[in-house]
Amino acid sequence: MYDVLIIGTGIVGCFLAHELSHYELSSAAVDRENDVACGATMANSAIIHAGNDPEDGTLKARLNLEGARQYEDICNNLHVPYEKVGSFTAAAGEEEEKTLFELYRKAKERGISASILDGAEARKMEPLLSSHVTKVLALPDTAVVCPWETAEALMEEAVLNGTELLLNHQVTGIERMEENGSRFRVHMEIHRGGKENGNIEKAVVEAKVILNAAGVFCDDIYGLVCPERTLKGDSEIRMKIGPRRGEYFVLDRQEKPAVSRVLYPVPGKTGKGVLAVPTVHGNVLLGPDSRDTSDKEGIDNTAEGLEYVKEQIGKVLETVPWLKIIRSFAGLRAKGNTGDFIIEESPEVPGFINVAGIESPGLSSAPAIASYVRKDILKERMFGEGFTWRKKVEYQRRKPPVIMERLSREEKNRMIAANPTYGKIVCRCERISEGEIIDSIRKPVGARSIKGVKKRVRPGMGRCQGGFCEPEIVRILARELGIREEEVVYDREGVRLFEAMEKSLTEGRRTDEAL
Amino acid sequence: MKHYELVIAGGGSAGMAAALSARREGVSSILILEQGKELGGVLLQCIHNGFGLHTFGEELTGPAYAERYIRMVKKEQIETKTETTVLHIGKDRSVTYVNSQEGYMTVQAGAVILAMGCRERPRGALSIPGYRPAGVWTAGAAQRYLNLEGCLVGRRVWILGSGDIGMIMARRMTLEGAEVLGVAEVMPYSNGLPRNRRQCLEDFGIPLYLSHTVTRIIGKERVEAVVISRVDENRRPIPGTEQEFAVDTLLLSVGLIPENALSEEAGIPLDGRTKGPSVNSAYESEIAGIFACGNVLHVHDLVDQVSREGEQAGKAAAAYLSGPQAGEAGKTMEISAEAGEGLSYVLPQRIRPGDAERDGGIEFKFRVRRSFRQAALEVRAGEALIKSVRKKYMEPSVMETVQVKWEELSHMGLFRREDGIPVLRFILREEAGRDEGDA
Repeated sequence: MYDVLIIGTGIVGCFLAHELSHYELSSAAVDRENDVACGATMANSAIIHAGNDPEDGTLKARLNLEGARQYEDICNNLHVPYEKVGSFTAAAGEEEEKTLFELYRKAKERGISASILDGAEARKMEPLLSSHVTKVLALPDTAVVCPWETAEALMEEAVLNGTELLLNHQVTGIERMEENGSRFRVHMEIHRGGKENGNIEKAVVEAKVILNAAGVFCDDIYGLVCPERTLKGDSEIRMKIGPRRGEYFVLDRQEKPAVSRVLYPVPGKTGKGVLAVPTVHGNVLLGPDSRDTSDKEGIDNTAEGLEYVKEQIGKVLETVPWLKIIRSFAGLRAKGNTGDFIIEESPEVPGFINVAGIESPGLSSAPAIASYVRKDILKERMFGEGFTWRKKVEYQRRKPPVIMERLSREEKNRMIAANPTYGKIVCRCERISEGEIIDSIRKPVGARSIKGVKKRVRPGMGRCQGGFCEPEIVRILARELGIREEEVVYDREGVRLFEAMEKSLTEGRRTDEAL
Repeated sequence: MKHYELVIAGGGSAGMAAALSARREGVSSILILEQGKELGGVLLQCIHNGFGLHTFGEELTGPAYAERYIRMVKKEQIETKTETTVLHIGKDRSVTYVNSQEGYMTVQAGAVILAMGCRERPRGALSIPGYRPAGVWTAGAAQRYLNLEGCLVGRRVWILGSGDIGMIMARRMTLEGAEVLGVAEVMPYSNGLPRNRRQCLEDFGIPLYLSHTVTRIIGKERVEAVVISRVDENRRPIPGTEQEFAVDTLLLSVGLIPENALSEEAGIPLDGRTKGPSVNSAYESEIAGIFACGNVLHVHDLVDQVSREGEQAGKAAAAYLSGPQAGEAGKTMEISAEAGEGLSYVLPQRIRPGDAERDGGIEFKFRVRRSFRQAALEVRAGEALIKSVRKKYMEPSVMETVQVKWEELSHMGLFRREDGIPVLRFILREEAGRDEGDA
């Protein structure tokens, strides 16, 4: 029996787990995937917005501002990248300049550093900025992070401090009960080895409090315990999460990336528009578009979506090095139907707390969402008589990962002398050693799939997209996990990478003389 | 810092040939740095035959071809470091590498030969709509899985792109019991060698869909189907021409790109057309003492061509090392070569008269932009026609060569010009009237 069960391990679930792991209570986090950060956290713009954009009086405005201010310390403590690259919001012509000044005013009001620059002045700093741009709003505090590395590091630290992580667990039912101080019984299916292969085990856990951080599935999860999906305040509105797709291009790392700061157009009706974003790893993201979809797994790229990004990026960029595209992807924003984040205890189901509708600026707000949930929503009464928030006396910090590229020559050679696998480069594009890949599998919350390795240490993220190193990764994963190579999965459990291995190959081979 | 006369980045066919020829020319301290477990590069996974007809006068498999060179390299006792990754090459010809035994090391080379080969264009570069499921591989990755790891990546296969590796994999997977439903090529012509088209597709009854491309990948976790569409002359899919094929695998053979990350980082100027370093007639890049050969320079069709280019580069590096440093002295006298109408590139991009005189001429390599029938390749200096060679048939998938003799160059009085850099232009002229007459 857990005090708190967190459903969903995206950036929000991971921040929640991390926040709670500092206190004396028992908690678990469940996710249907075989890794954390598989949904929107894996596919977004990776920006920590300064916080001038959301409307006054919203949770979005408050939590974005608070969250953005916490990120730098959090990332430093977790040893994950954070770069305050700054941003330009670009206006072309008088109409847009009006909006720009409005944004500037709002930034100042909220205590965000901001200034307005002339187009020409801005182009000196950002040479590829479109020649149509007449004025920009410069926000030096806009930052970029790696969302999935951050999520994984948060969960790793939570696990080190007692959080139980239940991966491959899909919540299928939530029962309400009152006995033994436990309010919920949560039914789950375990998908080890894949759903299709019939390997479904069942599991039941009990929890006093549930935090629903299931991203685009929040409304479905809420529906399991409250079919009406009632929200506070206006009793007419029922929670509905409408996935909104955003598509992106990724440009290869270059000696000098196309942009050195985030370039936003002046925001429009459907969001922040199509941006150019330098990533913490030296790539550049172009995107997203913004279209509602009904498919909560609809992360496919579309010709129209990509075309739109190509067209609209012209608002901020004069030219794009299209030949440097190495990938396109799409993600789904968990768009709620209230216009704001939905972070509240269910009015119908005491102890069931929705942390839903976390669309942009969700990543920026996530740390503040976690502390808001703990301080303002989770009440002592939920955990029973005599509960008080007691901080753990000792908190285990995450060990900084070995990142060879960042070490000095002497440190590198010391590492290799002690462990020669750090001297064997497996991924030539991103220069990742075998040792770093082994670390990514062995550590707490380690990788269990090719994609899991890619998320943690980046082989396959580079210009060859895994063409050279994937077979080597398969071999290392099989060895480290003690499984056969054909059991290694690319992403989800049970999805086969190969159709046949050597033995079955020879068995299946045609003996036709003509061949 | 340890010093070598010659350091070669890459121990595939180009690197080995370069090392051997430099040794023949008397270079004693040579170091080959190779990322793989053994020398041989991509040859090791090319278990089909067809290699070595020009070099050895017989047909060998890739590993057998590599083996002959590996033995020669061993016999010559050329120092080799495998499982070693080159991390940095400096304009000063310093080379930094890493391996498990020595860690990070920097050595100083008298000359450097770039022989890093090429890589395949990945799916991401194509922006094909759809999910990003397992089951999409580049043809070369599938080849490695099958031939080196013993894994068959799929049972029902579609191939996008008619590059040589794609066609070879079509045959290979068929032989292993997979069904290859077809090959889509966006261009109106095949991108591979005619012999591969015959031996790998036609002989196995695998249809080639010219002017077609994959417009959608279906399947969320594993490929379930692909949608093929016909394209118009601007390579845009034509709505209404979609055909869906149920497959579990899509292989991509959509182009090879010279692997020049190290060259770019070193500040070695590249030719936008070849995507490899711009070189002179001694295969020397614009940085003195740094040479390039093989697929890092431009993508070849045959390994025999690569070996030959490697030999030439090795010889040139040896000459540089025994210098008077011809590279620097020759700079003022270079002629540049330009690909004009109908050509996608010409190589070398610069000629040193000394090389042309010594060797009796220069062999230029080029590719055409589209298929030509009954065309004449003209080499021009300004208005003057230096040479014209008639060819019956040329296509982009076949690298062509043309020999321009020293007399042909010197007779033009080119080298006596003092007004700027003389330029040789290579142009294709189609003899359209004749073509129609023949038809």
